[in-house]
Amino acid sequence: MTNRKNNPIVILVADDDADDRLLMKEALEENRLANDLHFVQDGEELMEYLCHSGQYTDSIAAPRPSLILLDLNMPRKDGREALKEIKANPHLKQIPVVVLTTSKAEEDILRTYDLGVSSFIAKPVTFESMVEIMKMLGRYWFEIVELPNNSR
Amino acid sequence: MEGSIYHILLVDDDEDDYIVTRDLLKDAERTNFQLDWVNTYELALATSLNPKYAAYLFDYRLGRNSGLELLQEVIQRGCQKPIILLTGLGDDEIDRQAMKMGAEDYLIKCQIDTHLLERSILHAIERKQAKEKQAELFEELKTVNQELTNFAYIVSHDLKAPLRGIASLTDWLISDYTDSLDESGKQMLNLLGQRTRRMSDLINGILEYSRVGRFNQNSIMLDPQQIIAISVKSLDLTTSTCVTIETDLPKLFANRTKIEQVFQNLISNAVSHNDKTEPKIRIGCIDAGKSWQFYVADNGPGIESRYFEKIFQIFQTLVAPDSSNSTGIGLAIVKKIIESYNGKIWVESEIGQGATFCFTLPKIEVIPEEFIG
Amino acid sequence: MKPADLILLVDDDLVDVMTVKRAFRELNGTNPLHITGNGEEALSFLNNTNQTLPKLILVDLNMPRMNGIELIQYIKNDQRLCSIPIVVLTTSQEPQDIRKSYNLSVAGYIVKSIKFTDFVSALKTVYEYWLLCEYI
Repeated sequence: MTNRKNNPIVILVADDDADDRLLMKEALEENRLANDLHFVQDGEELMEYLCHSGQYTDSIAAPRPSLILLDLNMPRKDGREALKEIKANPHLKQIPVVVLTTSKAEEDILRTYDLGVSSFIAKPVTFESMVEIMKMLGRYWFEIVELPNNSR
Repeated sequence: MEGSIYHILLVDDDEDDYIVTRDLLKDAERTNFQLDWVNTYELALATSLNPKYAAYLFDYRLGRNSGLELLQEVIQRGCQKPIILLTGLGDDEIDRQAMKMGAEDYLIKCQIDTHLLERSILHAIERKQAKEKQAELFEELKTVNQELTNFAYIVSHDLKAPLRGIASLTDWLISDYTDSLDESGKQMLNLLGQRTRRMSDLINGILEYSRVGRFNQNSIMLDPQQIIAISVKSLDLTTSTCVTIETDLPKLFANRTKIEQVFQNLISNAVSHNDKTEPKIRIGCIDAGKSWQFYVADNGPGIESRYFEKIFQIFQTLVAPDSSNSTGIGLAIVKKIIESYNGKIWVESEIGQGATFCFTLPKIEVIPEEFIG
Repeated sequence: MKPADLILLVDDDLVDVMTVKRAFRELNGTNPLHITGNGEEALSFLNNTNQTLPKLILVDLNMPRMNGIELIQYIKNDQRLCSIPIVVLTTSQEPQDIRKSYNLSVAGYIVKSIKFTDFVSALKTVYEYWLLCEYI
């Protein structure tokens, strides 16, 4: 699947909850956005994936994502920490990060926008709502918005 | 040059060698050489950047240090004048190294005579000057290219902004004031809209044309079949259009974007000018000895021979601007690309018999190792 | 974003501004839209503490005096303003403009289309997307 500029769509989802991961996977599949979909389960794995270290040294198996969907509450380095690290890394900070989380705490919302998150979306609980959200995400990020050239 | 003095610096730790060299140069008939001599590495470094010297002779053996070391050091310090290394017999490896490190020439001491020395020095000076000129021209080329890029960018932006405004206002006039307008008024506004779209296409076309040769010059091994498949897909052809590849297509060593543009423009051209209910396009390649000759043949209306050259010119179209979207740039771009590979492009056609666009690409004899396999 | 939240549009091209307003009307957008024609005006507006802050800023990059990138830099460096999402709405498709914008953590980059209908549908998607997002 490619976006309208014919660049491949690679989505990376960071979430520790297996049910949520499944829900997102199916919602993305429903919207035909799941061709190059990758999952990590915590902040450490997320950084390993992005920096091609640990179990992700093969950069072909871990392609640079066009978009990161991030849950904030994860073990072994939570989403907030990971977000900070991503935004501090000159090679990674241009990748749009969308926080998709259950937390609606004002502090979280403010803090993550401060850090440069692209948008903050409350995680829906039903499949239908998740499909809707993924549809909007897909349309916005892959059809309408120009993304930075990701091949560098 | 008659009458001018060439100051040469000899770096050699052996005084006898200096005397021999001095005498050889004195005997030079055509040229007036003035030889200076230093006998140590340190002295050489101190004097070598003096702008009066036209050329340098370094002995390979300089006591503790070698002439090669001196060569490297002097070049690193910014010496722009030619350096000739004087070596002993059988020092092939050193000679090669010297050339790689930037020496203009090397001479075997026991084999030089006045004539050889004089000629070597003069040629070294000429060659060095030519290299510098080349470097200057290259820098100029880079600057001009950058200016052209900036120019193209500015032009496209500054032209597109008011164009966008005109297009929007036209649309709104049509939708908001449709009741106040008679047929004539509506038609005028429609023509206005068409013209702005055309202008937008022209600007994009100019940008595209100017981009050829400025960006993305890397060549890789390409499979034309793959490229054609991608072009056909992105052109979104109707189901009645048939594009077939009739022969094997040789692998090419060229820039991917450029070759994509060639096939895309030729196929798109063939399709847009086609007048049949079942457009057929045949693509193939024949071996033309030193080059590959590709063809893109269609079953369209054909082209009159008096237009065979014209169609490749920029902005030339064979139909009125209002009846098609053709901006007349596609073929000009293809021509520019083919010619950048030293190929040729032409068309063979008869009215009613379709048209066959042929282009040649020279066969590459030596493909750099990293691209094989 | 809620339907009553303020959106700030920073763009010096009159017709482009008309386009956004018109597109908004077609979408039945209820958000109040504040328009400023250049970066400096935008900053005075944002720095006015009597004024409620917008929840979304749409910025054009090519503006006189202070261009869009400079404005975004100012906003992102300001503690009070840096958490407002910024979406670039511009003509430039140049990779370096896109890269510079994302380096400043913009939340989207839209290229203005010459066709009004395309522009409206892009704005529609932008609008609907931001209505989904959580804000403070």
